[in-house]
Amino acid sequence: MKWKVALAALTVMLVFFIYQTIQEGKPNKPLLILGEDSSNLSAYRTLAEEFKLKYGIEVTFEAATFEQLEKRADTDFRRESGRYDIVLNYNFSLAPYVRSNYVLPLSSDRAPKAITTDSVGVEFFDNALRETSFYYGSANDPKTAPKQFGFPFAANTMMLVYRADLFESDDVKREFLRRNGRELEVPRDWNEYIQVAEFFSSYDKNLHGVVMQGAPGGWLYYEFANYLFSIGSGTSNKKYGWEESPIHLATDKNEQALTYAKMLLRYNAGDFYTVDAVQQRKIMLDGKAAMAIMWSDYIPDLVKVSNQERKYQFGYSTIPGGKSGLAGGAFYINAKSSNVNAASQFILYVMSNKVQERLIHLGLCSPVRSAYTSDVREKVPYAGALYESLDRGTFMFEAGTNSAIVSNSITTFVQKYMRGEIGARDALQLAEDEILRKTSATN
Amino acid sequence: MDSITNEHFALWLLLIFLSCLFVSALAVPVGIFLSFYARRHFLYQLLLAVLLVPFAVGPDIWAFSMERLLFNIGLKGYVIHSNEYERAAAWFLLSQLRGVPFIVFIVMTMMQQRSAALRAYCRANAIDAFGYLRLAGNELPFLLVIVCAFFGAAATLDSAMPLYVYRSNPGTPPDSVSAVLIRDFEEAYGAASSKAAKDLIATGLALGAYFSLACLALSLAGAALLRKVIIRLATYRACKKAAKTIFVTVTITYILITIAAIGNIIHEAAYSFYKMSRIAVELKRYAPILLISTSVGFCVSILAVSYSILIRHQRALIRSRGIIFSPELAIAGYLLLVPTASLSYLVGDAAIVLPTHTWISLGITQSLFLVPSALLFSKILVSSIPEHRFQWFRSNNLSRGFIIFTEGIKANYTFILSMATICAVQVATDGVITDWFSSEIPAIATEIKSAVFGRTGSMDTAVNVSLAAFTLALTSSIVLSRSLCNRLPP
Repeated sequence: MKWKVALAALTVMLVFFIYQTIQEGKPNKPLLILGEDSSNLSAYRTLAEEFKLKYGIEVTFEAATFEQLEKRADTDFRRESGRYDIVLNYNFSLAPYVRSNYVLPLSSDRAPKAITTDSVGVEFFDNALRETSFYYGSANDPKTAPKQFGFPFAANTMMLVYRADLFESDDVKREFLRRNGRELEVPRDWNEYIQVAEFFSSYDKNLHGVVMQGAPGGWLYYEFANYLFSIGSGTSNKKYGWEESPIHLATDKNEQALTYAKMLLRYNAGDFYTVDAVQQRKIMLDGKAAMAIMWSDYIPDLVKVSNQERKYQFGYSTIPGGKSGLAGGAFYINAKSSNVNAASQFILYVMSNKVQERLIHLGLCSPVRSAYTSDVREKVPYAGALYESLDRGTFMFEAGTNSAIVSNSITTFVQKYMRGEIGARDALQLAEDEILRKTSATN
Repeated sequence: MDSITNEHFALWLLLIFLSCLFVSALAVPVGIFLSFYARRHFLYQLLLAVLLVPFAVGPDIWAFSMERLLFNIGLKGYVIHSNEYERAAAWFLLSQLRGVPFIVFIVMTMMQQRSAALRAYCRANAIDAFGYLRLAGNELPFLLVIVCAFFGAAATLDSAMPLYVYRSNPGTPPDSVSAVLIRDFEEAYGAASSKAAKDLIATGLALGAYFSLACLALSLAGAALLRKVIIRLATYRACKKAAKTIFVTVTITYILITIAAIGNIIHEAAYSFYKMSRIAVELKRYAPILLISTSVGFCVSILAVSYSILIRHQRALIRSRGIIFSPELAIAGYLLLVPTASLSYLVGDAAIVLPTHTWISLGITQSLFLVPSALLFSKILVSSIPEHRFQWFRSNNLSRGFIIFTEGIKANYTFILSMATICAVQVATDGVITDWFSSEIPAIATEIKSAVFGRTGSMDTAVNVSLAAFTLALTSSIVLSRSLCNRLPP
């Protein structure tokens, strides 16, 4: 009896092994791309059919939530199974990937020679390219010259979204002029921003001036980075987020930024501590807030819904102050992929001006400057503001090895400050101390 | 891991303690008490079904439905802006709304089978429900209380409630075990990716062991407390009235909250009529996972019962009301208390090693995790079969296939059906194992998480998915309850 069971089990295993071997050995093995289920990935997905017709290579996209993306990519890299040929991930993932040799540098012998910035033949937003796709040549030595590890699939930034119907209403304008002695305009600096927020909160009891992101998971940190870098002195003086340099938070200017944010909280819609980008978008769509600082890749869905339901009209602008932050992610080629040539071919194909231009219409925040033609800026309502934000974009969001530590520590102590449990200076000092302690413990 | 502080550990142990207390002092006595009224009656069947629904919909959907309920009655803001202790209380109570009814359900279904003769005796001699409670309580195996305590602790400790209700983090404490582990993992990942993943798995496995031991010790104490104090206390004339009020109030409260949760989701989904038509589409989308879960449920249940019968046939059982050593208990309890954050990475590692088709990989992985619990329940069932039947089989040298068929499958088809349904619903609504395979086989819990927290998330999708899950859970709970009551007196 027992030997029969063993024989049956062996036969089943053998069949699976043969099946697997046949699958692996097939010519033109499909390209498997893993990415987060977002408007950016949806846009790239539309190219699969066309790419297959043109190059005869099948492309399969695996869309996942952010947590799944991290989990699946990590497991695949760690097990060295080479399941995913390309991983579309955000810039803060590059540091650990490079440190563990998970992804292929473009200068690697295995990467095709055609895949260089010059040969792609498009003009990128230079800061966005360097923010998303570069890391130190020798991962553990911050003195080495940076190397390129991919091409950006998206360049994200935060933009000001406002209720255009309110800003254009004659009644609202008149009332604003009466109360503030100046014309109502889209705020260009932070004083104007809080003044407009205060006005809308008192203008209608069902309306709040702003909706801020205060949820953990990075949302609060991203929102606050705008205040820290525009009003305060920021988290550090480096040029790009991935550079490894010490964090300095407890400054007078940052204290002002934090105090400013707490003042804004008076005019805020929603339960601040649980509002992430999805909730923020929902509050805007429900017409409960007049303004929000939103991530650019959440705006295409907002446009789609507002066009369908036509409840409220939205306008788009750069955020107040003279600075915009840069983030985004890149196509990272798996170092264990057996399909490097096909992967490079796909990246080269999607990086053309024509393709990028088409994808902007489908909701992509393109990192290619030359794709923002006059036609694009005319037809996509937020494209002009997005271009301007990316053009002036600079470092605001940490993307080095301690990015998660910085984000979590700032979230923890800012939430405590906003709840009134600690003072502004204490919040900054405690966050800085925790970042230093945790960073030195992990390195 | 650095971030697991003494405060964290103390809170988690307190939650285990409170869960064990709730199980021993509330859920088990209520379950025994209600089993006195076991009849083949529509209301009794409906009661069983409603008690099972919160567990059957899975932790994520239950947490989401509670969050929606709190939001709509205006209590969500209160929880978010309250202090740490009030949030911890909300976490515990909302999680227990899922754990306690399931334990009541387990105890009711087990006792209605085990103590059929005792019920008949009580009725014939005009002994009331409290007298039955005392007699049946003495028959209650410790093992059942321990199993229930493990389920109760697992429902609280690694609940999705803190995430959905107040988005827990150190700035808005307290945190669930998985939330702390994931945060530590993310922070360590930047500098040491492979090591961070290994640490996450190892810490999760170690915490699972600590929690299991704590739960085992507390549940043993709870079982003794139950038998020595609570059941006796409830039967004293002076306490009877208070006990009856507590038992009835608890049962009605749990039923009403479950109905309110379902009603609230229906209300949100029915806000626009066209959304209701989406439910059929959503259910169709989940056809593959339903097919896999049903297959896995039936295979695991039949195998578990068959194995338990075989073992019983080979070794004469020494009946005991006390502790029965069970390796299945150790494995099942341990797996229940390993944090999902670590378990999901373990599953990922296992899934990538399995060189098979996705459907087979998912089936095998799910079966591996379900087998210990299924074996445990089968063992409890098989221990209730009289020894003289097995003696007869042995003396007549009957084939093992015949014994499995007659004593296992034919005699206990309602049990197999019920266990298969529970397993199937668990697979269909699971957010750990199915999560890994969800890119090819849409998983209910993954979809709801992505609808609530994802980049392209929308509340409409989340509500529709929840309604689909509730529909599925309610239907299977009703079928299961009917099948469990088939052999009861009318």
